[in-house]
Amino acid sequence: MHPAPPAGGPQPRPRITLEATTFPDPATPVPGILALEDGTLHAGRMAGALRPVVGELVFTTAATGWGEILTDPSYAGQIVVLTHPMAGSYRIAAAELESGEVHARGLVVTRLVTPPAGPGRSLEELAREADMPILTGIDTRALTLALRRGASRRGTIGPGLGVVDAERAVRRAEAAPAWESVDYVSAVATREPFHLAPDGDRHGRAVLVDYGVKRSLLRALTARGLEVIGLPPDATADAVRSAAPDLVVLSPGPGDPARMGAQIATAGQLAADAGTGGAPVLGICLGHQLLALSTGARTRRLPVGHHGGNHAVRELSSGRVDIGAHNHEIEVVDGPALVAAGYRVSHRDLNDGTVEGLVHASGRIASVQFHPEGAPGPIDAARIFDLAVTQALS
Amino acid sequence: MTAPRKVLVIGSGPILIGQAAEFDYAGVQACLALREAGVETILVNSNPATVMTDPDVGGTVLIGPLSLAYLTAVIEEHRPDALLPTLGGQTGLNLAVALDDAGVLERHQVRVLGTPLAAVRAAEDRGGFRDLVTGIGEPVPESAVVETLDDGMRFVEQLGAAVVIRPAFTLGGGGGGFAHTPDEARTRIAHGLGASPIGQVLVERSLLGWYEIEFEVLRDANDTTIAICGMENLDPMGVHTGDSIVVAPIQTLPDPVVQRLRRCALKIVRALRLEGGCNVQLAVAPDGTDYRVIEVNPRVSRSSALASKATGYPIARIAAQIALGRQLHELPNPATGGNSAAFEPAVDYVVVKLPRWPFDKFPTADRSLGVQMKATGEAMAIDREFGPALLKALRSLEPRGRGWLWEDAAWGLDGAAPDDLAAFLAPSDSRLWRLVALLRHGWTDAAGLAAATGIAPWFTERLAELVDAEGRLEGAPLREAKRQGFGDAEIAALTGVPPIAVRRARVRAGITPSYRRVDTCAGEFPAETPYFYSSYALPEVPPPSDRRSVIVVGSGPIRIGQGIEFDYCSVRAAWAIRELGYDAVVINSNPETVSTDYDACSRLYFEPLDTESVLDVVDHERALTGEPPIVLLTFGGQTAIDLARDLAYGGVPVAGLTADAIEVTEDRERFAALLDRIGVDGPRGGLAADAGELHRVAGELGLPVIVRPSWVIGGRGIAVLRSPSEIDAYLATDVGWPLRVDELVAGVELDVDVISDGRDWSVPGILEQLDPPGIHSGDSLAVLPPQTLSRGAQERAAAAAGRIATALDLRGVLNVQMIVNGDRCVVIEANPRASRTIPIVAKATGRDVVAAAVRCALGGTLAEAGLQPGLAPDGPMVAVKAPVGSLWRLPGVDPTPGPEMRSTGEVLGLAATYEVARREAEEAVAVHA
Repeated sequence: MHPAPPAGGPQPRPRITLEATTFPDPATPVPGILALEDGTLHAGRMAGALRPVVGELVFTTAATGWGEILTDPSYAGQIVVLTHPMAGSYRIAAAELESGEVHARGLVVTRLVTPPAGPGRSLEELAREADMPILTGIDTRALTLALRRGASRRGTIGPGLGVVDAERAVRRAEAAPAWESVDYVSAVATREPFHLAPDGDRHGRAVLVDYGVKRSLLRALTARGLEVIGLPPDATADAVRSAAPDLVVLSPGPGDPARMGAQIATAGQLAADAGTGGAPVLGICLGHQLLALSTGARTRRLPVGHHGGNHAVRELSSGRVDIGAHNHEIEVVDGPALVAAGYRVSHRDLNDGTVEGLVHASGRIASVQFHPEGAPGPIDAARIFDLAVTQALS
Repeated sequence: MTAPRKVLVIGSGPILIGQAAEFDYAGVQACLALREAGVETILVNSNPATVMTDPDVGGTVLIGPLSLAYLTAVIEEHRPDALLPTLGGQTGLNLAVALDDAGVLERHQVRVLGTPLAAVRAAEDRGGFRDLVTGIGEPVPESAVVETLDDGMRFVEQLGAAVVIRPAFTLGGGGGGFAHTPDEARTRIAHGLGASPIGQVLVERSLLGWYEIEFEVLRDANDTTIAICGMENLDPMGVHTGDSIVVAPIQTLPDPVVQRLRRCALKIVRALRLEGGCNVQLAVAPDGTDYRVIEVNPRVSRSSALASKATGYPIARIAAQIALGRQLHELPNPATGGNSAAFEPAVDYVVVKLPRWPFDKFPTADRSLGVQMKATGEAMAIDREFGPALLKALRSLEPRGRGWLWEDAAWGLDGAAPDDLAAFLAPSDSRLWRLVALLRHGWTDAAGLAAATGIAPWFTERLAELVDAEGRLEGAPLREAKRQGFGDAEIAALTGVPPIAVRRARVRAGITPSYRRVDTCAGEFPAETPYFYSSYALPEVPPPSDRRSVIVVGSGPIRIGQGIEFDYCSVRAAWAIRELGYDAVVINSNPETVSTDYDACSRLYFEPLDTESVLDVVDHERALTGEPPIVLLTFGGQTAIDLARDLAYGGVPVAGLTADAIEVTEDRERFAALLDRIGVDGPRGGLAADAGELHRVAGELGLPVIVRPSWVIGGRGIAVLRSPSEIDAYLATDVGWPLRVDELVAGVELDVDVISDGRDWSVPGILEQLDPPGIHSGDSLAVLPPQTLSRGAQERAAAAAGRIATALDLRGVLNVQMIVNGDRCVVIEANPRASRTIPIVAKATGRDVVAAAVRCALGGTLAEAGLQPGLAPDGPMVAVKAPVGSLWRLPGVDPTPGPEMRSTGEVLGLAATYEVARREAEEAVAVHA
């Protein structure tokens, strides 16, 4: 039903699917193209911003939570592919946004639905306001299977039609910077310190180094009676110490942690404090990776990143299993450096065995790779916050 | 926990409305899981038309009444050390509680696996349930029991919301009703207090119009608790979920609301300390700000079967393993073979379930829908988007003219909009078509429909999209129409060309569906699940197979006259095909069934059972295996047989059976000629094209006569006319001319199933009907072997059936109904397919008759199938079958049995003597009365 690949010997590209795989939708008349660096092409239709973007394609299996996903700073530099076929079915409330702006580069969907009238923004309105393009009409299952099987992740979406535009798009994808090489953190994190009051009575103070934090993580802290001092990502250990924390939180954030030498050193110093009776440290996602790197352990890119709300994580000490929200391209590699520094793996993903958490022998440093704050996704492991807060205040 | 040695599994008994094939599916999965784990199983069920009651599935199988006395005797004799009560529906749970109450479990040291009975009691008892749910801080609908108007009004004012008033101890809730304003409440409460004999009313928050959401949850002994699937009812609160259109995954709610509801469901299951599967039903306010817990079912259910099929996650199998003490994280992922069963399936498609109601057979029944379930079955469809999934689900209902485009002329929508939109759209079996028709005629828009019905606007907007697309179809590219989900038949109707021309044009242009895998993980992990649905999307071809495939066409949604027995046949056929070294391919649309378990076959296609979808699968299988697949139509009831002509026209090899043979048996004139030719007696009769001819023919034959339209299923339109006045009354109904008018032969009615290899025939067993002819055989008490006929008479009957099979050049199975009167043996009808009686013959004789039929259909001989030619000698057991049904409880349905079949299910008594077998059958019926 689709043009077969040309016969006669290997012809690496273009693998053209220059026909949208869903029916025409009068709401999205502008044709668009998705191109990957390896020449894979899919035709669709544009919505939101009618402009090309380049980025790393990642797929998420979350069926809801588009507002949360697009405004999550950890998606900076990424073009998000939704496996759930009907995107934008409900209006997005302001409370669902995880930061003040859209950080994802673009969005690729099977079908962009115009939600019923009501309060809040449609997915398309959110994208248009943020100048972010959406490519709809794409067979996202076929794309996901290709990505899972190792198709190149560097790609582009943008308006276009036909072979000339397609060639241009592939060129654009080839020219895109490697995700690992870009400093996304300083683009998304706070530049100035900020302060958040606790909900209700104040029990203590969390000092959070912001690499690209989500609002729901901040809410998880303030809801537990902590005031939060947020510091920019280049905050030194001294700066953190001088903010007099009861709990140090190393936040999630985008990009490859291996290139963040200063932050790794800071994480190491803060961990050393905690190990010797200083304020306990909680690392989440990027924060977790920085803690691991500070021991000399390695991190690496996962063959297929975890993005969704359905993976189970097992806490090895208790055997407890929780479904959690995952959003990471990088994993910590378990190894002797972690052990030498007094860490052990506390959580593992039950699907692929990925390291999902570390705990230090002192009991004062804990970190998780997944997102106990959910948003989108389950918060079944929210007790990780309870434990950290209890520890901080004891 | 030490593993149990011998587990008693209780089945759910006969098919009733609200208790259908899903429990056979659950029971089969569980028994196989238990036996895989090395645990002995004892299975008790009264329903013979089940896969679970075959010894290679159920282990020690006891077919008997699901009564406390029988179960007690079973426990005393077989001494199980554990009981698994959560697989047999409400029947199984109630029995487990009864056994516990009677002290039987304690006396014989039988421990209850999985869900503790305390949890069952807590979930079942209204007060206990309220306490449990409110105790963990989750909301139930607020209510107050009051005895004065002032108390009632104080509650209403405090609540500040619409209420429902239910007077205590009034029949059927008489004197109650909804009140949307305090004034209405004042009137209603006053009225209700007067209506209640004890002057007491329950005032409860009304959730009418709230959205209904269900979660299927699994929990293990490690407290790992996961939500397998969240499902959303298109019909808001007020319609039983079994009568609702259900969509998965949840489509209309934002993440924070979905998460809140999911957390609530998990919390309840944890509080119940349940180990196994649980269904939690929730109501959520349309703006998503508020919710209530409605119901908790601490067992597998119709919904869990649907969730299993919708996600590919086998809930019942995993629940059984959990009951044995296994934990989710240590079990492998059942679909991907990956590391862990502890994950929540992600789906990258949309699932739509539509109920199938029996009203086509009972035009006088009350077709409104409410809290009492009326559907007998359901069909499910999967596609990438909601619209195509809905259209496919409609095709899966096998609507016989009631497809997407159907409108009832009586609605009068050509001239004007209905006066009262809300009344026109009140919940009924035709509401979906009414919604569509209003949009098509332009009388209102999606918002208008949502306002009039409380259906979420998201759904009405999708319907409006489909109606728009329908309007733009003519002249649009065919590929687009297919991507929208329109069937060939609809495209044909809308563009005025024959359906076969649409198909031909489509196939020539290469516009065929691709088949997508249901993999539980939205493509995130490699998966080999052999479970597929069609979609007009990019191809996703499974690895080619080097074995030829044999396709079993299933029987679709359960309806009167076409029930679970055909699923039994389909499953046994698939197993037999696999044994013979072919790939067994199953096509079916019914999510309740064993046949739609991808473990039961080599490849499962979850598709409508119409010409379009079956031919598409045939083409796909041909491409996959490089050989034309062989199609078996004999095990899917009339649904499959009806496809024969189109498949023959398409040149598809049908095993053991020609389209012409089917036509001979369905065309009564040709059939009479065939009987004449081979010297078998048929009833005297004639054809009547109008009222005059009916009178004439009836006069010639003498009353009573039996009249029936040609091409019937389950006796629709059939009547026995005993007097001139009955003839007049029949003529006053909507008669489907021409009618076949036959003498009503008195005598003993027999059901003879014959297996033929094209040369020889074998009859493994004969069923004698114990009710007089004229009662539909599906509604009649019957016994195997016959008790009133001599061996000689039985052999004559078997030989008549065998001659018919040979004359039809049939390979496989044929069902013949005949009446024996002295030396006369009158053949009433022959069906060239497996019939309702096949599972009974199988259970009573202990022979895998389906496997034998499959072997013959695929070219084997009787000897290879392990059968001796002729009528088999009587076995040691006597089987008595008795009909059970819940249909006559439906308002407006005439409860007297007649030639229209009315029972929904059946039970079997199986014993060494007729007396004991009959007593057991009667006891089994009494349990479900």
